[in-house]
Amino acid sequence: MPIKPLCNRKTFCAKTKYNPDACLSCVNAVLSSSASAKAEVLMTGFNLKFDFAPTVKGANVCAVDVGTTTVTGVIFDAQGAQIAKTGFLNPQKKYGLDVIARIDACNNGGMPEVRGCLMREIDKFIAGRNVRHVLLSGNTTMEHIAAGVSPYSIGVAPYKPQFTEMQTLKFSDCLLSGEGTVTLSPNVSGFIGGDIVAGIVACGLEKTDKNILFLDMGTNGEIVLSKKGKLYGCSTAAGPAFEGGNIACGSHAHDKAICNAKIEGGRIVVDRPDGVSIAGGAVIDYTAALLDLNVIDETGAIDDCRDDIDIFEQNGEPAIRVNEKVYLSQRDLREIQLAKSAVKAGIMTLLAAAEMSASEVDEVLIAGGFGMALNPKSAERICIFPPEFKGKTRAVGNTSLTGAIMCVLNAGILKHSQEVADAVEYVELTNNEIFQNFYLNSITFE
Amino acid sequence: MSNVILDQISEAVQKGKARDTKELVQKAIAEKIGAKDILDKGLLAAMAIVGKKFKNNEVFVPEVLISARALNMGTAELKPYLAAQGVKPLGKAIICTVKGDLHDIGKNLVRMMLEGVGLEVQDLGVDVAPEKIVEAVKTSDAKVLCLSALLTTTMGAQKDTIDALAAAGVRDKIKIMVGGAPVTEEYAKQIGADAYTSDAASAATAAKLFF
Repeated sequence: MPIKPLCNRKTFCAKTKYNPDACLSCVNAVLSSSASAKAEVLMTGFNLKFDFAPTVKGANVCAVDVGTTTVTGVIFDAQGAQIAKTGFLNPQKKYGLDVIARIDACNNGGMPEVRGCLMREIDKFIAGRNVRHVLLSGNTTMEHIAAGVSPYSIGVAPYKPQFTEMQTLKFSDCLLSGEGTVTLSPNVSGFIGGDIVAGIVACGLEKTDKNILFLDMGTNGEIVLSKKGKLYGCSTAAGPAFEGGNIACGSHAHDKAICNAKIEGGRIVVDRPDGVSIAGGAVIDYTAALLDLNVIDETGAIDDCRDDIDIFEQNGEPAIRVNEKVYLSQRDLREIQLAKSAVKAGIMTLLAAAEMSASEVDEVLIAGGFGMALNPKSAERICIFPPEFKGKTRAVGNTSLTGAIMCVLNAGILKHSQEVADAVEYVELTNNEIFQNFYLNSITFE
Repeated sequence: MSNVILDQISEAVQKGKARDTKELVQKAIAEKIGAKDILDKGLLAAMAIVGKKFKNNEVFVPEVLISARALNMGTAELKPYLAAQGVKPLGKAIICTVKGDLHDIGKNLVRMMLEGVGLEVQDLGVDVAPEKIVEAVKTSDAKVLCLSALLTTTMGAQKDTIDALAAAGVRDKIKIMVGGAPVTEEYAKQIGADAYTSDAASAATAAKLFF
């Protein structure tokens, strides 16, 4: 039975750049003819059914994914029907695009405002809707800030957070109006947060009998490997390059940005020839195309002797003109190399920790908005993944929100999520010789 | 004839062409060029150029890493021949990040550049206590010790380490270099270090002078 979307698809999906057909935040609780109620969540490639046993009976409940970049939320009524949905850019972005910048802002007396600007928006969403429970899923830093707990310790070695376990707070302690509680999804470590745990639950990684690799390719580059249900996790701190950060003309995937590129008739063409900036997915597409056209060699160096490509000098180094406003410099390509090297090395280090080879991996799931924007072929071409992953990768969308939805619609799943968090074996990459060797060997495009 | 190949090896390392480096080294070996010449005039000559460019901000960390990778491929090929022909490294050095400090990227870069000037490096890792360093200095014939500290709060451990070495009577056995973001020439003098350098390439150049 097809899931009926409750948004008008134009506003929500347009804002967050999700593929409307794969948008996984549409949920309907389906009341079966028998006494027991079933809930159904449609997620790209998954069809998850579970009993409808909400955390608070007879009242409305809400699931929120607090991403560093985007916040999404859904509200369900007492029968489990979705009655409201929201998606907005995290207002904390004025304090910085990544968690370290936000931790800095909080360290310098900014906590009340950094926290306030986010919670006010969440409050606006639930106001007047009789919500009694909010399940908030975010990375460890986001959850600390939401709870009003200083995240300073996450920003300095050994990067230990003030808490990892699931927290339950009163609305009034979370700057939310009305009566109710907020539960924060359990975290694993300073850099593997509740959003990843929710993602593990959404993809059933702790129950699978397959070998699955799960990646959230944002700034923190979290990776989870499930070896037939045994969980390993790491955070590669890939940096913002994949989301357009540290790229001269880079930006998030907004409606004036170049979002993809490909080779057509021997030239590289982009989706928005008038684009004012270039998004991470398109940078990867472009890099793959440059490799295929031999404009850059396997070391990533731009061949500036080409006549067919517009290459000019920018700050003493070669840059490739994409359009009137956008270019990709040698430095930009190096940023991509460093970011993808971190991710690849993280993958290989986890495989080594699990004593597995890349060929044993059955599926590679890429979560998040970036995952939806990423072209798997481009990712394979620039060697973010080992060659054995070819054809095995797919996007799974907002697994943090899906997991949060499952937890709020089934109290047992919520309880279980703490067991999942506890079960993840955290593999530290800093000062890890295995990671460093892989990192050095993954930096080129070969 | 032999110069051409050695120049090609140097070129390949500078460009970070790992496969080419490996093949050219194999070719040079087949042409019976001495392993020491391949190392010094091919591989290490390249790293000297890369180091200079790095110091002058003409290339940055990614390019150094890419070249270091090519260098490693080359030296791996060459290793058995170096041993067979009795070619020894220029000398030995010990490197670590001091107690309380977990930063390793800078230390790793210095290690690569030290290897790039022909030194054999023992890397003790991070958060290394003075006692452990004393032990390493006692049991090694290394001539240079490099201490890295990246925070103002951990710099003090560099002093603690030098003091511990003095107390153990092995201070004169080894030359001590210090580095890291908060470290200065003045501080180095204050704590009795033998040298201070501000970047990995300079560190390698300075270390070489002690051999």
